[in-house]
This record gives sequence, C-alpha cells and structure tokens, in this order.
Amino acid sequence: MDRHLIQRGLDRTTLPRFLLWLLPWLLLAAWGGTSATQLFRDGLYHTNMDNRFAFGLWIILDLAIIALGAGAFFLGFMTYLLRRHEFKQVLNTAVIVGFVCYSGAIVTLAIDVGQPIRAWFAFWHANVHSMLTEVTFCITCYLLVLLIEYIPIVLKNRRLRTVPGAAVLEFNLHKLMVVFAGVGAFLSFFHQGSLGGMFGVLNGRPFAYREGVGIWPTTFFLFIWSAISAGPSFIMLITMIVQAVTRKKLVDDFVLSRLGRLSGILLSTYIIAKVADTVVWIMVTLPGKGFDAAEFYRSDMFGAWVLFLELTVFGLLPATILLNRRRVEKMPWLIAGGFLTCFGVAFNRFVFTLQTLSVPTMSFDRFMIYWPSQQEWGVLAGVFAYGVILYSLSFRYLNLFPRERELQTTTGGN
Amino acid sequence: MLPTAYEFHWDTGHIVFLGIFYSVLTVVMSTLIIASLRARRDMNKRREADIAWHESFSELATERRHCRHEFDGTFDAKVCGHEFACGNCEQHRALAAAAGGDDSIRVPPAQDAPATSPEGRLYHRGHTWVEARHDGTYDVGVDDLLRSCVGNPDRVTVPGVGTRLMAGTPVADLQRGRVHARVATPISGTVVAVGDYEGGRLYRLRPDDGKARLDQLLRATEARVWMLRELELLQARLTLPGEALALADGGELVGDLMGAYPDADWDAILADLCLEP
Repeated sequence: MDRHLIQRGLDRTTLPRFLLWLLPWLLLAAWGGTSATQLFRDGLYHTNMDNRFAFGLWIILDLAIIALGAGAFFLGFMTYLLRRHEFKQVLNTAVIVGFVCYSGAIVTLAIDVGQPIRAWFAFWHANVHSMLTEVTFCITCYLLVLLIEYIPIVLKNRRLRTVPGAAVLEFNLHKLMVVFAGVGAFLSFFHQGSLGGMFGVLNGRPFAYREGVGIWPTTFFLFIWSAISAGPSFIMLITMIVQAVTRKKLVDDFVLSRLGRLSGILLSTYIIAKVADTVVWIMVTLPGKGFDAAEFYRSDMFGAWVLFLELTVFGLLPATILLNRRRVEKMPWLIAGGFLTCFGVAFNRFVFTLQTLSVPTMSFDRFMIYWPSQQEWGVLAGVFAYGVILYSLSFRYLNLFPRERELQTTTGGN
Repeated sequence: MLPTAYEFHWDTGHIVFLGIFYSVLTVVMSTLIIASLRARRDMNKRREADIAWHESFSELATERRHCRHEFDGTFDAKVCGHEFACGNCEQHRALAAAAGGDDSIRVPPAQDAPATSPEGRLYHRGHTWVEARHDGTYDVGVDDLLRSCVGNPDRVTVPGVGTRLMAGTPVADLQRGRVHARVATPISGTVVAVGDYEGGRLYRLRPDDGKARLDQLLRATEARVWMLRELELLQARLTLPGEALALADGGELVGDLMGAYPDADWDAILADLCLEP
C-alpha cells in the first residue's frame, strides 16, 4: 500500500505488519502523553520529586540520552572533518538517533520545568553564570543543527526526490554539511561538559564537587570524554539491533568493529582519567572539606559496590574487550563491550544525579531514597516509544544505510 | 539575551557568552541561507537534471560504475569517477590521443532509412540507445535487455511532441502490472516525434543547439561487453541464494523475463537497470 514511498531495492515488511510493530510503542507513547498532560494540567505534584530530590528520573534520562546521542556529533566530526569515510555507512542512523535523543531530552526537560508557556524565559532572561543556561542554549542550537542534518535524509525519500527543487536543496545542504558538523561538534563539546560541570560546581554537595581548571571542574571534561566514548558504541548497538530485528545485513562488519574499537580507545583513556579523578577526590578534595569518602557509601542503596561497578565492570572490562583487535571482530564480544559501555555511561549519570542527592550533607541528615511516580515512568516510556516510532518510520521510508541495497544483492540479505 | 532585557549587563560574562551564542546562530542561519540561495541559483540555471544524476551516480553500486575502457580491454578493472561524462576525463582524452585519434564519441554515419542494426547505435547505461538521422535528429529507444525484462508492457508513456528533455532525467515509463521502468533520456533535446515502441523505439529528439552531447554513451563494441556484464548481474538478481544460476550462459534471453520470474523483485531490478535510485 505504501510501496511507492519505500526506496527501490529495499526489502521492507508489509504495511499491516509494520503497523502491528508500531502498536505497542504507540500504546507506550499514549501512556507518556497522558502523563505529560496530567503534569502540565495539575503540576509537578504528580511526581515523587521534592525539595531534596529536585532532580529525578527525568534528569537521569536526559543526561543518559544526551551522552548516548553524542555518536551523532562525534561521527559527523569523524566523517566530515577527519575524513573517516567508512563511518558514512552509519552516519544517517547516527543523525536520527541524535535527533531522537536530543528532542526527547528537550521534551522531558519541558515537562520537568513544568511551565512550557514560559520556556522562552530561559532564553530571554538568561543567567549567563549558570551552567544550565549554557546547556539550554547549546542543546536547543544543536537540536536545530540535527534537524538541518535530518532534512537531506528526508529529502532523499523515493517520492520526495522526484520533486526537482527538493533534490537540488538536498544537494546544496549536503555540500555545506561540513559546517553543520563543525558547529555540532562545538556545541556538543560544551553542553556535554556543562552537564558534568553542573555537578562539579556543587560546593554544598561534596559527593559531586570536584577540583578543576579555571571555572571548569574535572567533571566538565569527564562528561565530554565519557559521552564520546559511549556514542560510537550506542550507534553500533542500535545498528546491530536493527540488523537483528529486520534480519538484514545493513552495514559491513568492519564498520561495526571500528566503531567498537573507537569506543574502546576512548573508553580506556577515559577510565584512566576517571580513576585519577576519583583518587584525587578521595585523597585531596574530600579531606579538605572534612569528609571521608567511606561516608558516602554506607547506605543499603549506594554501597562501595557502586564505585567498583562503575570503574571496573562498566569501565575497565568493556575497555579491555573493545581495545582488543581480535575481539572486536567477533560479534558477541562487540555486543558485550558496547552494551557495558553504554550501560556504564547511563549508570554514571544515575550515580551523579541520584547518589549526589541521596547522601547526607549535614550531621543530622540521613540517606534518603527516591522512587519515581507512575507519571514519571510514563514520560520515560513515552520518550522511549517516541524514539522507536520515529526511528522505525525513518528506517521504513528513508535510506538510512547507504550500503543496504548492495549488501542485499551480494549476500541475499544475510 | 539582548540589551533591552532588564537582566542584561555590559559585562564580560554577558558579552562572551551571548557573543558565542549569537555567533553560532549566525553561522547556522547563514549556512542555511547560502544553501537555499545556491539551490535557487541551480534551479534558475536548470541544473536539476545534472544534480539528480550526480546524486544517483554516487549511489550506484560499484559494479555499475565501470569505466568504458574496461569494456574495450584497456584496463582490467577501473571504476568511473566522472559520472560517465568521458569528455571530462583526462585519462580518456590521453588514451584517445595515444591511439592517434580524437576523443569524441560519434554516432556511426547517418542512414537514409532508420537503422535497426545495433552497430549503428550508441548506448546509454540506463539501457537506452541513440540512433542518428540525416536531418540532425536522433531516435531514442530501449535496448533488448530492458525489453526482455519488461516483456509486453501494459502501458508505455513517452513525453509528448515539443517536450524539452534533460539528459539523465527519467522521461518514459514502461508499466507492467504494478511495476514501472522509468527510462531516462540519454541525450538532451526537444521531442519532435513519438515512437510506437516497435523495436523499443520511444521518441525522436532534436538536440539543443543542433548538437547532441554523446560522450557519456557507449559505442557498440563497448556496449557488447557491458551488456554481458549486465546479463551476469541480472542472473545474480534472478537467482535465489543457494540455487544454481537462473540463466544458462550463452543462451538466448526469453522475451518476457517478468512473466518467467514473477516472484523476483522487479521493482528493484528495473530500478537498477534504469540507473534509478
């Protein structure tokens, strides 16, 4: 029924089966939409956030998806500025994943702030001394850049490319894509950093506070570093998941291996810096403020295992796997390494958001725990469903993997 | 945000932060405007067909981008980097000069009666041929391979007399059931007569300025080798994984491959043959 919209030579499932695939995601999106409506209508009392936990599930989600979406700017930078053309095979997917991540994050933030009608205040009455202002400006600008990068992919749709003006605009936008890749890298570099810097400057929260260079605490650099480590792995995993779900070969195996190895190299350097930062924090920063690191790991929820897990299972282990040339050529190792890397960056954001607020800062304080409300989970589910739906539609009607047609012909789709 | 907002102060923080923000926005917006202006300029210069072909060529599989000098035996393997416009290829000109001739591609001497011999034609990689006539016009038709694939089309749509065509643009449509073969015109010009699809003949063109650009077309000797390669590719497309090749080497093509292989993905096969993305 929609065959005329699907690129020739690309094998896609029938429309009824595709709609059936979308159905559960649409239900999840409906749950998200209902939750968002309740929150906009009645206010944030539907959440379990309070004065202690001003940051909750949504900020964890925002930080995690913005870090995982870093593959878009980093692969754009690698392809257009460093001329690593092999990554062109996954660049369209990276742009769409980036767009999904950033638009999802902005929608979640809008719900979190709770007054979308006054969203423009953040821009008009900007507090230039706040890291969050920088984040707001950068992610809005970068979403605009991602939208511009998305347009040429949409204009290559089978139907749209027959419109002469569309093809000419796509061609001219594509010729200038290097500018957008450069701007995207610049913006991402700063807002990934500012998201980390936001925690590092919390003087009253010794769990998060870090020393630094100038106005930038070490978390500024560590957040950038961890995001560009996980970004390529996330794109690699998404590509593998799409290959598994559609039972098609979409990119050459060596591209996936290179994405994995790129992650491995970056992750290994990140983990060295992270260990060094943790040592300085334990040995210098905390004693200087009259604290002992052990105090932060005495709760049932956040024991010393948290630190161990973050540094070893989600750090050293995937770095070791992905650094090994022979291992990254084997899919099970690649999946394990990629998954641990991505989960690790999400876990790092979880720890920084929740443990920071959970640990006591006053002598009369105690550890506290926060559990999200049904509406908070609903928004998370809705954002996830939105991502799957947008990606599924893009995969069906756009040519996300330039090598797909050729690989179908040479491998019979396997 | 702006000096008019009451929080704004002329201090370093505001100037640096907002300066960077506005610079980024300026770069993004001016790049967008430049892209739009260039698109408008290209439209005004009627470059749509060239751009569409440039985009299509970049998406062609490597096996469809072989250099013509592979077909004449000069190279064992060489991929074209000039979008088949041999007039723009220095190597092509050098080879022609070394051979002692010029590098132009010419249709064999015009004939009084319409030529039906394949030797009297030049071939486009989108499976069309061009045949010169005494009066300076050119006949355009589809080659035997494409005709064999489509068999008896339910409908043949060709541009009407007076239509101006740009080389490389899909202009004719051969429809069989739900499948379409969109055939690109091999040369630019204005349609002066419409064919009856007899022998694949589609229409007659009068080239712009009286002279057709023919450097992207293959001579009959080159086309013979190219056609064999195309047959091999077609064999591969019609063969299910794990099965023996569907067509016997050296055999004659049946007249209606679409009828013989109804389950094949003809939409994709015809797109490949017509160089359509």
